[in-house]
Amino acid sequence: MATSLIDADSLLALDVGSANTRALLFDVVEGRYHLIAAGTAPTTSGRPYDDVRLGIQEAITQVQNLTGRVLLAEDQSLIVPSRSEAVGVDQLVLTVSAGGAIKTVCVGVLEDVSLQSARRLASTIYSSVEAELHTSDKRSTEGRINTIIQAHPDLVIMAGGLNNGASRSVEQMLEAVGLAAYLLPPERRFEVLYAGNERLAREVEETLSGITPVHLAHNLRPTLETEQLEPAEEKLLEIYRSIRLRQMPQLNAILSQAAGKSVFYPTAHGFGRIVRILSKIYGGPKGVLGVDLGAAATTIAFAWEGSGRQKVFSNLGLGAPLAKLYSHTHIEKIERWLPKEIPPDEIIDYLYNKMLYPESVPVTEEEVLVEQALAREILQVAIKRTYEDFPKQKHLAKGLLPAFEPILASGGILTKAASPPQALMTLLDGLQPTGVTTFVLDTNQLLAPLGAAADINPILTVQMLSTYHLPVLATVITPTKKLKRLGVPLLRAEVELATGAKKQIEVKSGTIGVIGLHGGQKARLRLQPLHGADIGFGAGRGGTVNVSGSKIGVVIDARGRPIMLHTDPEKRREQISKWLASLSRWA
Amino acid sequence: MVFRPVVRTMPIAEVREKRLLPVPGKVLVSVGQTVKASDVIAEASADPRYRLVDVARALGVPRSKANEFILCQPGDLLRAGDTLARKQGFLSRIVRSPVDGKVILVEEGQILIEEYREPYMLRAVIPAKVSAVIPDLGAELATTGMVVDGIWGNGRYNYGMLGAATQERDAEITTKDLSVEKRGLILIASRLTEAKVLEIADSLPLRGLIVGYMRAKLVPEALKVSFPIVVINGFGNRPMDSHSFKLLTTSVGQRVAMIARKPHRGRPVIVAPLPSAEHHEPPPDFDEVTVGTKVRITRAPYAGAIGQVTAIQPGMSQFPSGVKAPAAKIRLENGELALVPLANLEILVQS
Repeated sequence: MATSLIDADSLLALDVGSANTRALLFDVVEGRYHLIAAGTAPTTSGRPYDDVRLGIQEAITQVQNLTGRVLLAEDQSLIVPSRSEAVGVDQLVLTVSAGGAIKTVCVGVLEDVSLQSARRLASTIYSSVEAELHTSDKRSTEGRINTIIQAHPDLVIMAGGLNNGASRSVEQMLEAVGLAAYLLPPERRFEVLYAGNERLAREVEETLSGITPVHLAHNLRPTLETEQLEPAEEKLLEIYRSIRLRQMPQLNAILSQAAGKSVFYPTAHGFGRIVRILSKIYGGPKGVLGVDLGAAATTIAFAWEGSGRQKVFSNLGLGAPLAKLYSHTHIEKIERWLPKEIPPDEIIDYLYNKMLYPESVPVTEEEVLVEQALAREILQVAIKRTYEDFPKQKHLAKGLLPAFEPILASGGILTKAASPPQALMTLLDGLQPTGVTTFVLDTNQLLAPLGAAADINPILTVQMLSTYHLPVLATVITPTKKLKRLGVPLLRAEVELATGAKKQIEVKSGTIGVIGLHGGQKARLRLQPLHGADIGFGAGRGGTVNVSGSKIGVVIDARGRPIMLHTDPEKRREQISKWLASLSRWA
Repeated sequence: MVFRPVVRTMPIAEVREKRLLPVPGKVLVSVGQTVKASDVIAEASADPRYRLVDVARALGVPRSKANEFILCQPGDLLRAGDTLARKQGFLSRIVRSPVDGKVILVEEGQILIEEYREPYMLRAVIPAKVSAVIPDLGAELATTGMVVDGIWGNGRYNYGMLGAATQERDAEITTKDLSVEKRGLILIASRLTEAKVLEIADSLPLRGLIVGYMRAKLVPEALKVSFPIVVINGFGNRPMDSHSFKLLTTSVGQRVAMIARKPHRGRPVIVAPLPSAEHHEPPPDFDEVTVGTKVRITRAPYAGAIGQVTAIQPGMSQFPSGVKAPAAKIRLENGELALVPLANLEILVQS
């Protein structure tokens, strides 16, 4: 039964990305929430515009033009609450990924314990860790002071000491943090988030409060075995908001126009939250994975039965951070994903030009290929750095992605790819999934705003998730195995269509097979992995799965894990072209 | 309404350039003051270093008693070797300052010293009048003259005479173009692809280098050289756009200021101050793209090409690669009609 929504509030979501700003209008039609219209404009928070409102107003104007609904007053302020069905909106959700990463210094006692937790906490928002301090770092107090000052941090996260545990080490660190803050002019002092030994919280507050803003949170590591990030994450969000609003004061004006009817989150947080909500809805042993590949950052969100988090890589994106991609990978690792020979010099030129013009669009085939190769490599780097955060999977070999269902993909390079096979190829190569999974595209990039909206309008979030069908890119079955030889049968499948028609297929190692199944069509697959390959039921064990079709069909990726690429460049390019052709054959 | 950034390639314009310190410091000029290129307009302690001297430990006394032996106080200026603390006795002990600096704190038997370091000095670079002071950060300088905006700089600046490395817009600068008579010049070159050129240019030395395109693999070397480098159009192996090349090469012999800002600090700029009796309104930083707007294209296959908008396409346009984006039709200088994503355009202002 539909929930009564007679007094339902309309909601405007503004998502300010580093390249584009989007406005999404949601309202109730025939008793349920729908996406009414969306507008997109270039983001104007940076040079030469330096006023985020221009892009926001342009995106809202597009929504006005599409719907005829007046959302902006003559002075360009947002009309909140609505005055009638045709004028104004009731609620505002603001998600922001634009703006530089929050410069952070992480401080812990033990490198592998509290410092690691501080680092993990920092990675839940758009932050860049500029320096790390711990008791074994061999720095003197003056060395620590100089390190902090030279990092020019916006934020220092202090962790360390089990509750009622070590205090001297924490006090040593506190001395350095306090002196560093004291030495900076007041307008350049950083915020401090203390989430260490709770017995010292009062001392930390007393020491720092007269010098610099200090925020206290529960200990990240109350015991050696326990890590609790959530309470500190809430505090970190508050700090993020205050820093971002200082950097983009115009956002304050927009939020104040919807005072009491608005929420403001980092986009990554909204995305992480929706992944957690979906994992609760789907339940089951498999987790839900979300990847958002943006211009300024890449977010990997993961959750099992409602529990999980997001990891933000502020140094990995398809815009400004590209020139720094070198520090994370080699040019050969980008080149290996190209189906065509493109000289390394041109790839490097591409990286730097994209850094200079992050909002620009690749037009030539070569540029699209380079951009997709970059996307694959960024996903590879990001996902490998997330493995340590996943729960241990007993049957899975080290260095492999656990099975997820589904995998949600967001970000222009994926959702606006020239063709669905190109988007899927980028995801398959970049993430290298295992077992049976479904790739879902966040075409309108709704997920992060919906996650943030759950705070003020949970009915909207729940209804949109149940009624708005995110397009399925493809169901992918991966017989997981480290390949030694190519061309050996790796999976046999019997496909039984809803009509009762049956057919058999066999997929060989080193290839991609596609079962032609249209969107809306359903089938039952009896799968038998060969030579000890694992499709999620255990090595060599078969099983039956029900699948739905998509534009691409059902994909069997038998290229091995990790994907086995030819060492000969010419043969490798041929291989990549063939794989893309296999995916495109049926699309 | 579509806004795009404005780039200036103007023979004469009113130029207002903000010269800012990297961190807050002291501004040394006032509004209305005329400054020369070499004048220091602001200074700051950009990279302070601190020393913490543990007197208690050095004298072997309890922390609570160490202050009795300390002879300096906050604010004192020190020379390396100055006495900080002394304990008299049969074996007298002395603690000396390890560096030149200033005492910041004396507490619990410890002395915190800020090391003396040469302050960062911000020079005017452009001979101009101070039109505004930005408290603690710097000043806005105003002049009239030729102005060309770039897109990438190596973070250096200089003022000097403009010379041409090559006469042909298609030509690439090579080591042969760097004869000894080019020493001390700010050289214009259409494109740069060889690292050796930078090495020789640095040994001459040049006073600056302006290129249309540069191979991105040269960025590490470009960041190391002692002279400023401004890239006008982008990275790659292409010729400089025709308007910038023409304007710069016709200005050979003039003195120009090069402010080669790194991308995160704004656009780099080249200014040749010229007297003008007329008032020239500075162009906006960004503007609306409409039919008739003169534009420069930033990305392949027309990167660096200049043209005029003949139509803004409704909705999304599809490109040969399959990518869809809002686009405009551009009449290029060679008469060709090109479909270009709006996001790949800059508005070109010439007068």
